[in-house]
Amino acid sequence: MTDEHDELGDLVATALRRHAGDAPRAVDLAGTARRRVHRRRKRVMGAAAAAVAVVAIGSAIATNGLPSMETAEPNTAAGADGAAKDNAVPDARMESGSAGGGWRWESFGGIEVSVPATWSYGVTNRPWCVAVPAGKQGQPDGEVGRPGPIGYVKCPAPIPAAALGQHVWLSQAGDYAATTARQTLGGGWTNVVRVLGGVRIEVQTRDAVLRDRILGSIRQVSTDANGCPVRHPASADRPVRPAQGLAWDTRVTGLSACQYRIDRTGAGLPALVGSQRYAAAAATAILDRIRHAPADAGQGDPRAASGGSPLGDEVVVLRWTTADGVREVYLRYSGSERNGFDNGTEVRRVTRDAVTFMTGPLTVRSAQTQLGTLFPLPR
Amino acid sequence: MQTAVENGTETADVDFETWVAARGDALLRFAYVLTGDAVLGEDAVQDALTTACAKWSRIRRADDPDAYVRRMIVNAHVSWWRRFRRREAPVAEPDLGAPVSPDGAGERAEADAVWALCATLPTQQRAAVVLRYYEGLSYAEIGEVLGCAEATARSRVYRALGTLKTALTNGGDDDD
Repeated sequence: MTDEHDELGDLVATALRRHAGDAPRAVDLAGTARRRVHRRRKRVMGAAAAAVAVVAIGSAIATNGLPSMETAEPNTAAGADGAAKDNAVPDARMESGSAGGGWRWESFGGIEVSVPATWSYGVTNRPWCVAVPAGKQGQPDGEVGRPGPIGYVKCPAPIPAAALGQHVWLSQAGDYAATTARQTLGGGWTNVVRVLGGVRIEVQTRDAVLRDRILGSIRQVSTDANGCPVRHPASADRPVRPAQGLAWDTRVTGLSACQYRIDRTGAGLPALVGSQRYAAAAATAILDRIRHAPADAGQGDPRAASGGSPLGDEVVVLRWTTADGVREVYLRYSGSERNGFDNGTEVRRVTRDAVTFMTGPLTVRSAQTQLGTLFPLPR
Repeated sequence: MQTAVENGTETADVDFETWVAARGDALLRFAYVLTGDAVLGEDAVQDALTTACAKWSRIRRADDPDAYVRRMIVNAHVSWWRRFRRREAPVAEPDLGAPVSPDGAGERAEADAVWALCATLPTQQRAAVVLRYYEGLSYAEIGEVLGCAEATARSRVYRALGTLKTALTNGGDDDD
């Protein structure tokens, strides 16, 4: 190592020590760890009990023969408790929308579908089948995609081999040109499209078992696994403000971040396009960043004025869990007015620091290009 | 004055809550420096502490529980990033041409620029740099934490510094 590098090393050490002071403060780390350990143990015990039950049923069948009455068997780990799941709110960020057994729920427009928890989030500013950037062809590990500003581009025929990968792609039905329900793409790839409740769910994989499990999990809900109602007054094309707003100094124990497109039909359609659940520590850190953003009059960016509604294309409703129940903050960012974090009485400015949680399923889809300087960019 | 628990030298008879109360902030600072993101850092700490909580009776008897938990934080972050590597994290554009001023503003700007550049390093290189220059570990110790040879750890730090040096030099040249 050269002296020159030693000098640079000193500079790096100084930079790291200086910025370490910006780290969040510890809030109930031990309590959260204990609760998570408790939940893990309950899950393990539940799985063990289920295994015992399977053995018992197997023994009963061996002894008595098959039961005469046909019973409806859950076709996925996710589908069995659909009604109960509707109002469930998981409590840990890394288990956000957990569907159990290494799967997670993804919701869009009132539909939920479970996918392997290891799948990432895909390109959101273009259809998956066109304009594949160099070095990003194919997604062998799997990804979940949602439509971005460009939603009406027809897939080329044939689809380039480099674009083929494993994914679930969610969009409003009719977003893309019509496709057959099942399409063989070569190389072992099969693409299946299912439409339910006005949502188009496209499943593409080479693994037939995986495909059947994903397709079998599709269901309609009124509140998703992350605690987000699929319909919300904030998604209306009217300047509504939170009725049960969160005071900035409230202690919070969880957060459901729910992203909606602005519904200009006025029909009260399920407008939820993505959601994420955060546990206490992460929720507290997010609120802290919002609290430290400057107060704002809630004005918008005049450059967005040509984009249509002054409220923009989308809104994120932050539903905080507090001792007094759920309290809300609306985040608007793509309109020509009323942008900011609005708790019903005050508005905080949208800062880069305050929106770092907007990743994964929560991605800015607005075509307003100036937002790229504030928000984490979609691929 | 720090207690023995706060400075990490006494843990054998300490319960989990007491240890976390004493060490939690330091772990969060370490994780923040490692990940460059408050939420990701907190997640990595929370994951590590959940594992530590389940095994605490064994971990507290280890030679250095603090190092043990830090190793879990690094592993949690590196493996998380490996799984979700296609997500992009927001990285501020570093200001590489800040003028030096006698009141320390230039040094702060320089530190900010280096911090922003560190965010652009590959995960393994950044982890090696943090362990070397924030934690002050030897290359052999870095290799142990990252599960690689000492020479590999040294190489990662060296390559990271090379990248930073190039970026800082080019940034300065651009402004000439």
